[in-house]
Amino acid sequence: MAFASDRPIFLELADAIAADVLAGLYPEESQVPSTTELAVHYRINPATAGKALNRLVDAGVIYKKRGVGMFVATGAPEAMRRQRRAEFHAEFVVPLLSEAHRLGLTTTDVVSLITKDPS
Amino acid sequence: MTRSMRSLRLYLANKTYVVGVPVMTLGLVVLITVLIGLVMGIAMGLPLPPGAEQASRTNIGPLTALPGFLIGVGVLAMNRNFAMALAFGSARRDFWCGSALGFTATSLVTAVTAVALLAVEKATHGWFVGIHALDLVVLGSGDYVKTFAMILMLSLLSLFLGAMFGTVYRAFGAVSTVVTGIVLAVAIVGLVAVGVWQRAHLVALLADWDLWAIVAALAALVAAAAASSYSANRLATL
Amino acid sequence: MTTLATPDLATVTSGISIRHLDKSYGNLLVLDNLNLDLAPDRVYGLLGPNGAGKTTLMSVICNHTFRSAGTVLLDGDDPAENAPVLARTCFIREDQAYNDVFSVGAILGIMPGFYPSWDEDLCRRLVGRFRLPLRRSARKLSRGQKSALAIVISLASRAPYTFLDEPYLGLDPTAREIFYEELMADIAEHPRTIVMSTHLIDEAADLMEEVVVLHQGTVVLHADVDEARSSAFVARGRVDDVRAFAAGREIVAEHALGQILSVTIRGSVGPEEEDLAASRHVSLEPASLQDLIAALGIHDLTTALTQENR
Repeated sequence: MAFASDRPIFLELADAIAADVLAGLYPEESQVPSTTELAVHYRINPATAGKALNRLVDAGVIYKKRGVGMFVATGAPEAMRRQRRAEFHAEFVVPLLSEAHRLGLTTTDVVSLITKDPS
Repeated sequence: MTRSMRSLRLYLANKTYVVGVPVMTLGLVVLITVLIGLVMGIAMGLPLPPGAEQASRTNIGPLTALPGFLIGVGVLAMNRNFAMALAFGSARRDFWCGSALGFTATSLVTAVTAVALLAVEKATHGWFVGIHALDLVVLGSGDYVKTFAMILMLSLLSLFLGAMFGTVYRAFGAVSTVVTGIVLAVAIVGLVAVGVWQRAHLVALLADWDLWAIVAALAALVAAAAASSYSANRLATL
Repeated sequence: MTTLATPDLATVTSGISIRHLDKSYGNLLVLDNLNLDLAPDRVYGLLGPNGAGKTTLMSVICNHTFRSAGTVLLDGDDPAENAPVLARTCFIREDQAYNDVFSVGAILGIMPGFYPSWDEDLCRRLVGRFRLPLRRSARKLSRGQKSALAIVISLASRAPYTFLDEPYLGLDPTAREIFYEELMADIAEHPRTIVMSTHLIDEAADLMEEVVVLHQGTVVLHADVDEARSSAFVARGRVDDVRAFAAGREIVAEHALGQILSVTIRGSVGPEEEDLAASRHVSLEPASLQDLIAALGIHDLTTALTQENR
């Protein structure tokens, strides 16, 4: 199994599928893998795979078509992008600056490092 | 009943072993007897003179050839098949009944084979050489019903005796199995002693009842062996 | 830490319920007042050191051996010599005996008689994937082939209660992957209760929904696998710092390397732990399930080994 963190696997799996949706691997209204397909592919318990999909349903990323499967909700990638933008400061900037300050770099140093980067 | 059939099918999983070998054993007894007849024929001429032909009727070939193998079948069934039947979700009672049906099947096939070979032997006047492999005094001197009954009982007794040892081993362990063997040996010696001591009665009994006295005695032993293997099987574990 | 609810026996009509179960061999008490409830249609990992009673527990549930005291219910009925209940079980032992004169093909051929739910297509596919020689006598199979045969029967039987006793023995990593994949694929389509004893804990952890840890014949942990995973963590740092951090916590194992100490602590990591660890320069890592199980069993490992060699 590819997941190696202390977080429950269903969270890891839900995040992985969400990331794929965000990256456009599963376009809007396209079908995401079934519980069985996920269980076989990752060799995880089907109940775990089901929990991951249910979490995404609860988050509005995917929705269930009875008897057919799970599909990416229209507008889900955009909604996720919006949410991640909102979380960007707390998730990435705060830890970046905290590590920088620990190393004796000022915020200005960090800004210049970022602007120096050609990308 | 259907659940017992599962264990019967398990018993019959290798038909060559539980049906083929007993049949072939009887065939082999005939073959060896005929070969002996041919060797005797070199000196006496063929077909064998009446004296030699009569002498060959006191042969006990089938009685010694069958039990060894059949006891092994019984032991293996109550040991290995038992382990398999339990693994595959069977109750002990159903397993035992299925196996007992299997023992009966093996014994019936063996007895029918003996009768068929006896018919051929009679039709060919002793396999064309004047020797007897199944038309024997101990089997009823050519009587089809007696031969059938004798081979059936002999076969059943061997199988259930093996089953008894196999189950006692599973239920009570190796030491108990050896003790059972010793007790059985002592009992047989005792019975023989009583038989020799009371031989006058025995001769009278045989005169009155003929071979049926022996068939009845064998049947009683079969019942005893079957009952003990059934009781022990209820306590057998893996 | 038995974290799951204990239902009243009279109300239980599905799954496995065990109360005050004792099993002794002579003077040796192998199962000691064991209580356990397994809901149906889940995959359970049965874990614990050798000699903890894993195989004996499965044997008693399937009535391969007799219990000394206590209650065992399977779907609300006592399985002891109960043919309809036993017919729902499949338990091929790690050292399963087969009749020497039976070929693999002959054994597989009689299986539909034992299991009405037997799936012949699945059987054929598994035989092919594990390259099982159908004509070979069961006695002449290698260790890995014996395991493969047990897996084929266990999966294709579709028995509602399937017990797997260290099913991977002798299988190479590729064959184990095939087993895990087929097991997950089949239970996804045909949910049923699987109880699997294993020592390859981290490798098999993702297959399980719940773990049951046995130690000295009793259940020391029964929890959801995620819950079990978060029930311990490892703190690592300089000896003094780690000692200060661990003060007042339940330490289940510790290892020292020079000035570095790493301790496995029972409990979960919260903000309080993170702050304290940061201030002490102690790093916190998840304990693997394997670490946790080893830690739970380690206190009496010598006893366990003695029992194993009885």
